[in-house]
Amino acid sequence: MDARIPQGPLEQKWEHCLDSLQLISPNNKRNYRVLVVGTGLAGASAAATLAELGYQVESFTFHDSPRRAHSVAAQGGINAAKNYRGDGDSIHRLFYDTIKGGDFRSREANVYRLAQISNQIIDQCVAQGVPFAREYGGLLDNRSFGGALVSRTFYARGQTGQQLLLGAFGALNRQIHAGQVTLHTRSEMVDLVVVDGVARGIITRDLVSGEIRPHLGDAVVLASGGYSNVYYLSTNAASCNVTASFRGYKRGALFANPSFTQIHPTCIPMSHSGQSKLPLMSESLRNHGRIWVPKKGGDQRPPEQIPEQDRDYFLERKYPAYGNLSPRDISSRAVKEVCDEGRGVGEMGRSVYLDFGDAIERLGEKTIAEHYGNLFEMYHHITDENPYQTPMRIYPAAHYTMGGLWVDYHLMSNLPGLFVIGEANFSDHGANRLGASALMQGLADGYFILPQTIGDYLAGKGVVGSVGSVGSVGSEEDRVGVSEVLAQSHQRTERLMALKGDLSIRTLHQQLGSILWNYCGMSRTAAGLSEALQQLTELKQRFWTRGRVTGEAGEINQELERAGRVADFVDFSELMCRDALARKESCGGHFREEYQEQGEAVRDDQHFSHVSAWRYRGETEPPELEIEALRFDAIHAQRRSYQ
Amino acid sequence: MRFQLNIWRQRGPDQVGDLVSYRVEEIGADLSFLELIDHLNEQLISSGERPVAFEHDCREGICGACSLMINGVPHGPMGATTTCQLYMRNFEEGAEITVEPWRAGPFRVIQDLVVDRSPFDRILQAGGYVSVHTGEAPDANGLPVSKEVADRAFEAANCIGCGACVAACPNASAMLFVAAKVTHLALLPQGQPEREHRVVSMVEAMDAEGFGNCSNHYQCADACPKEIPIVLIARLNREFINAALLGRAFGEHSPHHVHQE
Amino acid sequence: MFRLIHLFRTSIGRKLVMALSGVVLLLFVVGHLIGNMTIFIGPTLLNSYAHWLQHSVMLWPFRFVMLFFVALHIVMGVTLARENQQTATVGSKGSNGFVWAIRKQQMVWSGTVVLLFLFFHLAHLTLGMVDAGELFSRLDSNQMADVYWRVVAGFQTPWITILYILLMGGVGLHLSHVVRGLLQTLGFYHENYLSLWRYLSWGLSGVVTLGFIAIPLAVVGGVVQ
Repeated sequence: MDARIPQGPLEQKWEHCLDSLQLISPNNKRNYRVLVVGTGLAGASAAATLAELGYQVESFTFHDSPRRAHSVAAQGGINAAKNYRGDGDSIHRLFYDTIKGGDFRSREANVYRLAQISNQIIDQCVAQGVPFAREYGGLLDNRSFGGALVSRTFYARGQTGQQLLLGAFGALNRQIHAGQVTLHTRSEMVDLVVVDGVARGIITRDLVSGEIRPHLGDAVVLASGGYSNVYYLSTNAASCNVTASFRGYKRGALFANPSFTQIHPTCIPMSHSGQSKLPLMSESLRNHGRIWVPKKGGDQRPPEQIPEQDRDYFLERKYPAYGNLSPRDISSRAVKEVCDEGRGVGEMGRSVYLDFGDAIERLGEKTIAEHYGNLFEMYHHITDENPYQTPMRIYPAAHYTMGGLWVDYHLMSNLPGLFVIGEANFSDHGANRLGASALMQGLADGYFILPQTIGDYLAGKGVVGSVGSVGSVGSEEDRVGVSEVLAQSHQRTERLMALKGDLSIRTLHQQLGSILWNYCGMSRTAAGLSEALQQLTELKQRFWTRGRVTGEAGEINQELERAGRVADFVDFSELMCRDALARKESCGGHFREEYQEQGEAVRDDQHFSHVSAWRYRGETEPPELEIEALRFDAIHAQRRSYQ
Repeated sequence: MRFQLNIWRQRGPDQVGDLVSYRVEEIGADLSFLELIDHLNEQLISSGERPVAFEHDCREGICGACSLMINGVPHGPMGATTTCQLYMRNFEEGAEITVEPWRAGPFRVIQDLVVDRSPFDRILQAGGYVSVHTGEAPDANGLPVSKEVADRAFEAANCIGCGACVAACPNASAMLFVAAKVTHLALLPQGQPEREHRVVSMVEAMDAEGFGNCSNHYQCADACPKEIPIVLIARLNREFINAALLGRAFGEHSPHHVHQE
Repeated sequence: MFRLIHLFRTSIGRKLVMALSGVVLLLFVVGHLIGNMTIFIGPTLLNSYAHWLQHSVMLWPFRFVMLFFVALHIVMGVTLARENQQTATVGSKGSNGFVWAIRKQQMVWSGTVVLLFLFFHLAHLTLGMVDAGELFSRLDSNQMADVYWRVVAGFQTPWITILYILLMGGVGLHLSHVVRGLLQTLGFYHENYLSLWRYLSWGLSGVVTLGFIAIPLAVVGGVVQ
């Protein structure tokens, strides 16, 4: 595993990298075809930028339109080190906050580059017409997010992700119109084609006709998002899944830190068994909302009637420096802790108050509505409670996955030709992601990094015009490789269609979710994880013997889609638990109860200051663990403290 | 709660569809409308029937995937909500609920409640963007935009592309959708250079997709889950008439933004 | 010129034709109303106004121009309605079904009423094809055609009066949609003036309708005799 981190001082690494990349002449770029899977922030921005540069791009989404990718639901904002507020922000500080937020489990060089690029992203998005929030003077407004002591978050009400995605979608549309990008909607990637150890293409299933067909290219870019839906209930959209990256893993790409998942503290709590998701309430709410529970367990009074002295603002108490803006992993655990103590509120006792009473009194309802109007409305719709009058109730839910396919500094996996960007890769957030950093990373990868580094790979291939029209096959090896994978995809579909048991796929997914939530969620133990591995083996068996898929393969069949995704989730969760078991320390979102000191995570830098990357070795062999050691030269890895 | 659901079932685009009745029982009042359909589908799967195909994704009212005509009203009776944010507590016990797809001329039904909304994307491809290459942007604060303008632009940019406006319109006109995008960019300084070209291209694309004409019924704005204001249609007309009468490139073949190396 | 042809090939351009021809017709209706109001002042004024109109050299050119706009308005309206029929949304409309059906083609059916009214009105008071008799030949004391008498006598038959008022109601409905829609189509509708336009729309259609209906009512009520 060579991470290909450039030499030289941290501040100049990206510049050095850019200077040393091999270039392709503008006229030759059109001879290369790049396949981009996914049209969220990372995928759409990458596809658009690659096309602007002159490459032929094929873009794939399983949605009916690129605009539905789940980036659209990101609420709070996007970080950048602009220091427009003059509050002492800088590239170095953003870099430092991100590394520290990630509990020193990410690469210095990658994170520094991310902080450097953050400013360009804002410029780019504003130029595209993204209507960021502005102040009365006409300049851009900022707000604060967890894990930072400065205001560096740019936002568009509670719909920043939507507006940024529409910007990237616009850029993509422009290239589709210009004929540089071919868009394939309702096309789900079901496998990766690897020939002689090099990624050569993908297999897709047309979700309308059921047709399974190959697409070949000179490089494959996965921008397929994260896998929080492995928990069944999460803040993710219903169709988010791990299939694309997991197929990559099974074809030889390394999967890094699969157990690093983020449980977001402020989500709408679970209230009934038919619930299909746990909607997120943006972290930005913690700018003005104060989190508390009654001091005594079992306090049945309505929140408005509980006087100040009987309330425990536990985040402010435990972490006075950051208070309600403590990072997500720490806040979530604190919430879980008070609920475990029996002080949780709500019917099931699994929620805490997020109270805007003070802020509304101080700033007025109108100002609060301007900041969070749509979020308050959404909360009101879902819970039938008016947050302007009574505190919100929130509880942590699975939200983001820091783990993903392993990539080097060029964002290429260990499989030559397979690039991974956005949430699908593991790169920049270590063991915990800070708020408003996902949008930043997705767009940095898609607009600014991948389009540069991919050229170096393609130029190095030295094969110009190796691929003919879509679906046609270049060499004899390609032909053999493709037909083999294609046959396997057909077999897999047939196998899924043959499931005629008595359990619906949704039921099985719910069972999977509860295993992971209980044993590989906010806190983990060796015994619990072993138990989970045991239960997962049984679940897998249950899936293939008792699962049920109705309908036909040659039409829209949402049960078949679900079955394919859940089958991969089941296999993947085994990897997750293995990784969690192997990492005998607590760091970021990965909290092992054995490794703590008064409830605070205890890292083991001596043994675990590394990236765990897993290599698939077949159905019968356990995966092999490979290690990429992490070095901290610019900052000293110390104990993370937000007190 | 108990309900009787009359759901449009159609196997494929060229097949004949019909309303089929189902009964669902023991439904919690906190279930969302989509979770109700999940529930029905579990029921259908367990009895070996084909579940109802329907579109949904984020389930928090922002992706625009959900698209149900509930009792003849797009996204149901609540107003300013998407179907995923409609909760069963808003219906009466034992109610009979008719669920249909968006059945507008340009939106072909693919299966059951799933329709083809790709015409929207093709309209946007015709010009719904600012042509700026990655990396060539000036500093974000170089161009101040008054807060009122930014807020109004946001109000228009709020459109989620669900298609409720078309479904609500007796003529299946897409004017509100196009108006929202045109207004968003026409208001902002970044959108000025391509302002005329954009509105002309998008309106021509809209016509080519076979959407109906606006005959000022104002149903679209009533149905819009994001409350895109009706006045944007007037702005679209104004922008278009202005570009057509006084603009430079009208009537010629639309210049495309093909990148020249 | 090509620019205009191209414009009228687009959906918004065709709507513009509807709106602009509508404006011309609306202006005519308003002018007509003002002229008719002279009936309340007395026979002499109305009759001399009518005499002046009938002997103007511009009468036939004016009639041709109006005919042209009526035809344009109708042709374009039918074209748009047919196009909309093809794209129309379908589906059971639940409890809204009836309202929906009426609303959907509101301008088409109310427009048809306007056309019927136009035929009836011309036949009745211009051509004298309905219940004519000595209505048309009668001259007043100045030897001018006695239009005043024509109107008074014309509304003596109850079914004619009732039909006139009913059809006029249809015209009113057509107009009630007009001003707001007109401003929308021409692009003047603006968020700062929403309610103003709405009041203007209702006000104008109300004044026109009531103004025209006032005449037969006045005849029947004996105010004008």
